[in-house]
Order: sequence, then C-alpha cells, then structure tokens
Amino acid sequence: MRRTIAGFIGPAFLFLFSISIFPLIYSLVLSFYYYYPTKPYLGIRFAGLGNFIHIFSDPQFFGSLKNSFVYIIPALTAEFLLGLGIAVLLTSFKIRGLGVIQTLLLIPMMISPAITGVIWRLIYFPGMSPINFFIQAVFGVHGPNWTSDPSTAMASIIIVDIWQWTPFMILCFVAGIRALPEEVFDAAKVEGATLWHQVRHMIVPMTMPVILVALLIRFIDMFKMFDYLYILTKGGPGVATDTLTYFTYRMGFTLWDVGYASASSWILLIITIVMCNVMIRVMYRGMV
Amino acid sequence: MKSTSYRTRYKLQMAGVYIILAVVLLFTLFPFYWALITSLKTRLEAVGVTPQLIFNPTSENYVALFEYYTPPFTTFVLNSLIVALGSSLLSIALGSLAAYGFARFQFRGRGQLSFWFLTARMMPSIALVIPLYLLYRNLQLFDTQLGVIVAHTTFNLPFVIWMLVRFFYEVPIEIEEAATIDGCGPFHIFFRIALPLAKTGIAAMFILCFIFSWNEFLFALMLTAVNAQTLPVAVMALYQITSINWAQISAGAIFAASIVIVVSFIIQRYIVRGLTLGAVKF
Repeated sequence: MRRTIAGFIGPAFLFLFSISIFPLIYSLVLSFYYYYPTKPYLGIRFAGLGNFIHIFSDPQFFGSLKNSFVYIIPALTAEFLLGLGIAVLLTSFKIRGLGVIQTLLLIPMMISPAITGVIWRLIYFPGMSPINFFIQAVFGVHGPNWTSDPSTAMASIIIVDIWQWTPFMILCFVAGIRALPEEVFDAAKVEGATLWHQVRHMIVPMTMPVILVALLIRFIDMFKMFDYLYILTKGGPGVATDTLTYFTYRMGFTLWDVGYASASSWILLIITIVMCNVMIRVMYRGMV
Repeated sequence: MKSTSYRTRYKLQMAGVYIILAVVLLFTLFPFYWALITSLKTRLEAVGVTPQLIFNPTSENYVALFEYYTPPFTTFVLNSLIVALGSSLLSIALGSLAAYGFARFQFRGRGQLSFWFLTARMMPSIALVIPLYLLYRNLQLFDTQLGVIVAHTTFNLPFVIWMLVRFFYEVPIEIEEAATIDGCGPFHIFFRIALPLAKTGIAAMFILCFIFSWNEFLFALMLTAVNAQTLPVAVMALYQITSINWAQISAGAIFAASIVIVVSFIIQRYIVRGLTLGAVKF
C-alpha cells in the first residue's frame, strides 16, 4: 500500500521538492549571509541576523509595505463593489445578449498582465494619451501625467488592476448568485423586498464564502504583483509605486544585495503563507 | 393608468441598466480596441496629441515583427509554445498521478500536504526567482527553454494537483471497486478507468496551465536572455528594439494577447473555476 501511494505521489513530490522547496531553503540560508554577486571581492560573509535587523530599520522597506496596502485596499474595494453591482444588474434583470457580455468580460482577465501593462502604457503615454485627449475635449483642461507624476502613479496602477480584474469579480459574483436557490428570491419578491434589500440581506451574506475566496486570491495576487509595476512605473517616480514585491526585486536584481533581498522575500513569503492559511479555512468551510 | 406608469418605469429602468452595461463594456474593451487600431497605423499616424481615427489600415507592423528583426518574432512564438506545452504536459503528467493518490488513499499528513500545494500555487514568484537565478547560472539552465519550463512548473504542478483532486472525487468509486474485485492493480485502474473518466477536466486544466505559462512574465524575464525569451518579455523588449515605435509595439501586444483570448474561449466554463482554484463553479 505504502509503495502504491509513493508511486502516485512520489514523482510530483520529488519534483516540487527539488525545484521549489530546495531553492527556498537555499534562499533562507542566503538571508543569513552578506552576498553581492556583482562584487566578488567582498566574498560571502556570515551575517547572522544582520539582514533582518537592517530590514526592520529600513524606512524604504516600511515605505514599500505601506505602498503595497495603498495599492491593494482601494483596488480591492473598487473591484468588490463594481463586481457586486454589475453582477446584481446581470442577474436581476432579463438582459439580452447576456452570453456575449460574459464572453467579452473574459477578455481582460485572460491577457498576460505584462501585455496589459504594455497596452496601458500606450494609453497613459504623455502627449498621445487618448484619455487626456478626451479630458481636454470635454472639460477643456490638461489631463494628468499618469504614471510619470508621483501623485497619480499609484492611481494609474490601481486603474489597470481594476480594468483587468473587475471582470473576474463580476463573474465570481454572477456564479455565486446563480448558485442560490430560486425560492429565496421568489419569496423576497412576494414580500416586496427592494433590490437594495435583496443585495444587503440575501446576496452578500449568502455568497460570502465564495466571495471571500475570490477576495483572498486577489489580495495575494496584488501583493505579489510585479508586471504592471515593472512595465509602467519601475516602482517610481522616486519610490511612489515601490511595493514590497518591487522592493525585493530592486534589492535582488538592481542592487544585487542577494542576502538582503532573500530576507525581504522571506517576509513576503511568510505573509503569503499566513494568507493562504486563512484562505484554506474559508474554502473548507464554504466548499460544496 | 397604473399599469402604463409601471411599464414606463420598467422601460426607464431597463434603459438605465443597458446604459451602465454599455459603459462597463466600453471601459473593458477600449484599451484593447485602442491597441488594435494603433497596430494598424503607420509609425507616424500612431503618435500625436489628436488621435487619428481615419487612416488606411496597414499590416506592415505585423510583417515587420516577423521579418525585419533578428531574431524574428517566430523565435519567441516558438519559445512560448515549447515552454507552455512543456510545462503543461509535465504538470498534467505528474499532477494527475499525485491528484489521484490524494483522492483515493488515506495517509498521515494528507491535509497539511494539500495546504502546501495551495501555498505553492500562490507563492510570490520573486521569492523563488532569486535562488533559481543563482542555481540556474551554476547548472547551465540559464536562458534555456528547459529552465523556463521547470520554473513554470513550480506554479502549474501544484495548481493541477489541487484542481484534479476534486475531479477525481467526482469519478464514481464503485466502478473502481468493481475493477479491483476483477483483479486490476491501482495503476491499471488509474490509466484505464479514472484517467479516461476525468479527461474533460484534465483537458481544461491542460489549457489553463498553457495560458498561465504563456502569460507568465517574471520568471521568463529573469531566467532568460535571448535564446529562450518568451513572448511577453519579447513584446516588452520592443520598446528598445523599435526605439518606441508604438505601432509595432501594439502589433506585438495584440498578437500575444489574441492567441490566449482565442484559446480561452474554448474552455470558458472552466476559467472562473480555475482562477478561483475550484471555489466557484461557473
């Protein structure tokens, strides 16, 4: 029996161990060393907790952690509210061409976030932005400089995230609402509940398990988002869009401070593990 | 009287709903439309404060990508195809075996293991790419298709296991029990009975893995230079190669995106299920 189980699970386990767990252990070891691959004359020196002590007194680290939340909280809130609102419209009214609308909504979320970044760079690009052309034509004022202005750079990233992932929230909500028993809605209509009442007291509480999973997945994905930042702002201007993921990337691949970047990436990893722990509890509670 | 006012109110309400949906669709499709028309313009038509809406569509930008540059775009398309197919095949092969093992056998630590597969799927790539980069440099895997295949399997394999466990739960166990009584071994049952019964789910997961790998950026960016570069990185690199020729950059972006869009329409039903890791059935 034991042999059979090993035969089924062994190959996948060995593979994941050598390509995923082993490299992560290696990175944990590196986080206790000072290691600069581009400066071989410095050698590899044991740091003890040096990198971690340094990181917890580094204002840039805390700034990037703060930026991660400045990115996540508005984007997640907007995606949640827009997703809920549009899904309620799609399910409460008899919409013609519903199938086509749902198919079209799949388009943004299927595109590579890197390609999304490239497309939005075209839209934001100073001097030829169609949005700014529209703003100029309708309101007669100059539009913002989007990604190149520190005060609008993060908002630009958030808009891209909303563009790509609101459809995902819409479709999750639509699926959640459709899974609810028909009778509940009939009863509500008989009793004359308004649409707002249905949303507040039925749809939101009853689709909560599904929506929590979707929100947690989005949270973790935003936390590790790299592609938009690399293509649109490179963490800038200055450090305006420098999130924890981008900070880790900068430490590792532009400053080549590998020990420090490993320490930072392990903090990122621990946050992700905690979030996954929360997620799996929610999933097993709400799973059909 | 009353019924007419209800009807007008209903009509007004529906008009409002359609207007909102039209705005949503406009916002959703506009960036894609904008990139598409930019890709059909000449270099000069593509820039300018006042967008040129009337122009002679040209295919020259798409032709340029495949003919003017070395290496041509064909190289990156092939790299992306090989990497995506390789990673998906490897993930399905190892993952279906492991998922079946999880679905059918009881053993200690099973619960914790499935938690680790979920975590492995959600892991931030930046944490893994630092040690992989250093290891690849030493193992001669840097800038090879095999290297990228292996890196993409770190997220595709846990995904396949996590999803397929549920597909195998849905395969009725009675058929397998009957086969056991007839003297079939567990591997025989897996290949002859469970695998064929779960084939729709497996095909859908294969396509999802393909899309995840095709779209992946960070591993592909850091673990390749020129030889094994995949499409998203190549499109990004067009900024330098074309010295910001927006028409050609857009052509590259549209080309890379259109392939996944077409592929994703085939498995529409499974996409939301896949992206929510099975929590939502659409």
